[in-house]
This record gives sequence, C-alpha cells and structure tokens, in this order.
Amino acid sequence: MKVKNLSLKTKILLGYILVILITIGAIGWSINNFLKLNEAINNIMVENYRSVVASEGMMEALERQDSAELIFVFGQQDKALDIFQENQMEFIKHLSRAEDNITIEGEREIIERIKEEYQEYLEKFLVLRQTFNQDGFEVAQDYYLEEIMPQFEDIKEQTRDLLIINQDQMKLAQQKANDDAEQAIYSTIIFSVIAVIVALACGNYISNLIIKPTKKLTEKVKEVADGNLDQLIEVSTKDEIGQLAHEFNSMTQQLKDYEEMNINKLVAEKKKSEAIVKSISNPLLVTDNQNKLLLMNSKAEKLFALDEQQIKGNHVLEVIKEERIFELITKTLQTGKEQKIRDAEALKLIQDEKECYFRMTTTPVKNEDNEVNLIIILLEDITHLKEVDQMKSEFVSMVSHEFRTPLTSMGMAVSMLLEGSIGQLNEEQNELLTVVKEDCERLNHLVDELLDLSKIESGEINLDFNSIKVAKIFEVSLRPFTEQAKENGVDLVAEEVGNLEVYGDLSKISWVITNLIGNALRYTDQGGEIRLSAEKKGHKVHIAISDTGKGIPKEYQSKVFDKFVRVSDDQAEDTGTGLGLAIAKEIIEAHGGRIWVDSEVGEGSIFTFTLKLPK
Amino acid sequence: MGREVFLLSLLSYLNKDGIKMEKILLVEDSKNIITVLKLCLKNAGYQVKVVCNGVDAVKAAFDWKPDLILLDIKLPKMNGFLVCETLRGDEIMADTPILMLSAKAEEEDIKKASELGADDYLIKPIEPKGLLKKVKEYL
Repeated sequence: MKVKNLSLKTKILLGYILVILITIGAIGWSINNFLKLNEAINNIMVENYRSVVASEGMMEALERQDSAELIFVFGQQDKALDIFQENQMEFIKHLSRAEDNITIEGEREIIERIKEEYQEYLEKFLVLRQTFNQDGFEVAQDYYLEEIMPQFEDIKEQTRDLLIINQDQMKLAQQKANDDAEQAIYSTIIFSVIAVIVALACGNYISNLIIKPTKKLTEKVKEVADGNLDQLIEVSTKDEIGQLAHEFNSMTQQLKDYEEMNINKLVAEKKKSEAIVKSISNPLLVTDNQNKLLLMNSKAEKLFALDEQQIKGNHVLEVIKEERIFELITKTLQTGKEQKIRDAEALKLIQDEKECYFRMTTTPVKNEDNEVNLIIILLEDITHLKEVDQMKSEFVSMVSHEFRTPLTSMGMAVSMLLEGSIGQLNEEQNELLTVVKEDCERLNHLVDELLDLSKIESGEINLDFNSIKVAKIFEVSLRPFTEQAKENGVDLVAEEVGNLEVYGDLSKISWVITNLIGNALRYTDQGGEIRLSAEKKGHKVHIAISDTGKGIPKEYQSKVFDKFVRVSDDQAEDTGTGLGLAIAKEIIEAHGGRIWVDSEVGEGSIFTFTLKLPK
Repeated sequence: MGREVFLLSLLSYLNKDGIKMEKILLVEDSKNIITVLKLCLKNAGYQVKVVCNGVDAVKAAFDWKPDLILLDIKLPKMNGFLVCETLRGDEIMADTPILMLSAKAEEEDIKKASELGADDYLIKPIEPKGLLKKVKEYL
C-alpha cells in the first residue's frame, strides 16, 4: 500500500510512531550505555578488586607464615606452629577467593603456580620441622635460608604478580568505563540530534501532507467563488483531503454542468428570439434604455442600408437619422407605454429609390422593477395601404366633384322654379319640387362630408392649432342651433367653464360639437335638455355633450363612430349622412384626443371627447 | 316663350340705343349649368355671353369686354386660374371683376384664386339668389 493511499489519520499516526520509535531507540541506546558503564564499574569493583584484596590477604598470610617459620627456627615451636597453621588457613581462604574470581587472561596460570609452590612451601616446612628435630638448629637454619626463603620469595613474587595484573586490569577497566561514558555521551547526543531532526522532518512532512493540499483547495475554492468554474484540483492522494478535493471537483463539475445547462437554455432562448426577430417580414429594431441599437432584422438592415454587426451598440440617432423614430423611442422611454403613429402620419422613408410609408409601433419591454430596459421598434410597410388609400381619396374626390356639377344645375334649376321667377307653380308642383330640392341638399351634404372624411383620413387636412377658450367654442357651436332648439322645445345649456382653455383648431372643434348637437337635437323630444360641459382632468380637458334623448343601445355604442353606421330603428334616418361621427372621431384623434359615448336607452347619451391643454 | 324671345330681342335692341345692360361673360363647360345660369342671369336683366373653354374665354374677354366674368376653374384647353392670370396680365382686363365658380372648395384653391387676382370665389352648388347677390355686389 502506497503512502498516498493512506488516510490522513494513519499518516499522522505513522509519523508519531516513527518519532516514538526514534525516542525509544534513543532511550534504549542510553540504557545500553548505562548498562555498559555499570558493567565496567562491576568489572572494577567485583572482579578485580576482590582479586586485589585476596592477593593482599595472601601476601600478609604468607609473611606471617614466614615469620612463624623464623620463630620456629629460633625455638618457640608451639607458638610458631599455631601462627603458621592459622595463617595457612588464611592464605588458603584468600587463594580460593582469588581462584573463584579468575577474570583475566594469565590469572589462572599464576594461581595454579602459586598453588603448586605453596604446596611445596608447606612440604618444605614439614622438612624444616623434621630437620630441626633431628639435626638441630644450625642445619634447620641453613635449610631455611637455602630452601624455604627462596620458596617464600617466589610465592610472594607470584602473589605480587597476581596483585599487579589485577591492579592493571582495574586501571584498564576504569579507562574503559571512562571511554564508554564518553562514547555514551557522544552517541546519545548524536542519537538525540538525529531523533530531533527526524521528528522535525516527520512533522514537516505531515504538516505539508495536510497544509499543501488544503492551501491548493482554498485557492481553488476562492476561484470558484469568483465564478471561475473551470477549476479542477489534481487529486494525488486518497486521504481525507484527497476525498475532499474529489468531492470539490465533482461539486465544481456539477456547478459547471448546471451553469452550462442554464447558459445553453439562455443561448437557445436567445437564438429563438433572434430567429423570431429575423423571420419577421417587417423591419424591426431593438434598442436598450440608453438608445443603443441591440438588434435589427434583415428587413431593417435593408431599409436603412446598414449592417447589423457594424452598428450594434451604436446610438440610434448615429445610424438612423430619422428624428421621428427617435422621438417615438424617447416618448416610449418616458411614458413606459406603447407608442404608435397614426396611419395618416405614417413615416415616409426612401427604399429602393421609392417612397415608402411605414406605420411605427414602439413597445417597451420592462424588467422586474417595472423599468423599461428594451424597446422594440416595429415598422410596418403600409405603402400599399397608403396607395389604396390615396386611390380611394382620389376616387371619392373625383366622384364628389362629378356629383357636384349635376347637383349644382339641379339645385339651381329647382330653386329658380320654386322662386317663381320662371312662372307660378301650383301647390302640388311646389310640393314635389320641394322634395327634389331637399334631396338635392342632402346629396350635397353627403358629398361634402365624404370629401371632408377622405381629406382627414388621408391626412390632407391642416389643423390650425391655437389656444382657444372653451366658452368661445361653446358660443360658436351653439349659435346655429338657438333658433331650432327653441322651435323643438329643447333646452340648450352651456355650463359655466370660466377661463378654461384648450389647444386646437377652433373651426374643427366647433364642427365636432355642432355635429354632436345636431345629432342630439335630432333624437331629443320636446321638453328635453342638451347640455355642454367641460372639465379639466390632469393634462386633458374633457368636453361633454349630454342629451335626454332616447339613448343608444349597448351593441351600437362602440360602432357609432364607424362610417355609415346607424342604429337600426333610427327613425331620423333620412336626415343624417352616417358620416358625422366618423369625421368627428378623425378630427378629435388628429388633435391627439379621443371620443366615446356613454348611453342608456331611454335616458339619454353623453358624448365626451378629450383635448389637450395649451402648451 | 315667343313673348320672352321678343322681350329679349327688344332689350338688346334698346341696349344698342344706349340703354345700358351689364355684360357678363360666363365661362363654363357643363351644358346644363350653362342653361340654368344663363337663364338666371338673363332673368335678372344681364347680358350674357357663354364660352366653353379657357382659350375662347380669353378671346371673348378682349373682344366683347364684359363688365363681369363668371369663371369656372375646371375648363378644357386652359383652366380658370390660367385664364384669370392671363386676363389680369393685361391693362384692359385689370379691373374687370372676376368671380371664380368652382365645385372645389379647397382652401388652397381659394387662396390661389385670390392671389391670381380673382375678386371672389363662389362654391358650387350655389343658390340663384346667392349668385345674383354676389354679381350685384361687383357691378
């Protein structure tokens, strides 16, 4: 099993065991040295010292025996024998001690020789005793001098040798002990130093084992925290840190996968939206809230002769020098609402050297905080519509004029007849010609309104904008009706509006109110009331014309502003053209306002329209 | 009818002898309108000459020297505006009242007529009374 595969715990434990083993080794070594020293001391104390003591004992006993022999020679035999025997015992005791304690080379041989010579010495003493007893003092004295004394000297010499070699041995042992002690000091120091170094190395190795990968891990974690998910820690070990690294890697991988999945989803969504944008057959632009172009489809590229890749991120005005587009974008940004331009005011652009008309819609895209962050600008090519519209207008205009000529001659002819300047008419002729005249007038009126409508619809009408007092509008509008209202028995009331002003074209607004009053009069019975009122609401002025007429059924309320729409049971059919409200609507919208009706059948109707306040 | 013709010829005869009858040049291309207007104006006692196109109108204006010209705008050969401009370009015709008579009620047309020197602009259809009132105003 490799070290790499061990667990961190095992590694630390192994490190400690190693240190412990080294410490044990050092302790063992020290003990060994102590034992050696002890042995050396033992050697000195036990082995040699005893031999030295025994040698000395032997020498003393021998001296005394020698003295005893001398005493014997000089006559005191009994005393000498006692002393001799006593010291003989002493000598043998010491000799046997020395014999028991043979430790040095050559010691045995010396003791053996001492033993032999001592035996001879004892025998020679026996001879001395016999000689003394038989031959007398003189002979014994000679024997002593010639035989015993040299023997004595010899043994003594041998015993001294024993003493000396033991003393020498003691010195050697001391020297050895000293050497051993010194060696023990050095070796223990060396051993301890090695142990310290090994322990440090071990500690360092274990620390590195833990700290290095931890550091690496920390760095990687930091990088991952910074969003760099391409981090892979090289896992070289299988310990706890290795496992942690492995888990970390799989976590990073999962994070990366997750992010990639999200990115893929986003990219897919982006591609989808882009594909949708590109596939739209009308020019389309997308800008951000800084008016920077983000996206444009191929139609828009073609229309403005631009390349999306080159102008991406540029300011709209830099690349598309159409102020009206920018104006509408700005307005959308300010209001946060979808903006449109009316067909009549369609954007005129040159495409393929041809004048083209575009309807423009700017749609804001809001973020979570309800702030506009994108604006989609859609241009719809309505050139064809415009052309058709133009043709229609021209047609209506032409037809109207063609109608005018015969109507003129018819009208004048009938008028002249009715005036009687050509000749007197009878009552029936008069009646019939009146019918002709009335229908002539109605046709004339219809032609007028058709012309007006076609003009307004095609945007040909010019509005003369001014600040106008609402009171003035009311006065102008009511004037033609005072007479008729009185005849019909209807109250015509204009409410007090003070100095309230609106911004618009007096004649056109009066036309609208006149038309509405005309309608109201037509449907209001005797005793009813028609009321004009105006009220400021925010940045707008609401002008209302209410009547107590028969009212408009719900299903018609939304349609009354369409052309030629009439309420089905309209009994006043023969007097209206069905175009008045359509024209009124066009006029009010051209003023930037709107018009609507609130009505209850049997209770009356309220027509309300809005106008701007003066700037 | 016979009586009317007689009266008319009598009037023209009398005119020759110094009884002044104002001369109105009617420039119009619609046959029925011509009939009605001619009758209306003659009944009112004016001498009427009718021409049906712009070129004839200019010619007649200089030849006949009318006291007032009723001039339609939509005309063959030369339109009413051009006729008006031509006539006003000459001293002889500088002060002769010219009343434009048109089915077109566009403001720009009215403005243009006024700029070219027309005295008034009458919009068709017009009531005989109204027409005569206007004519009287300028004679």
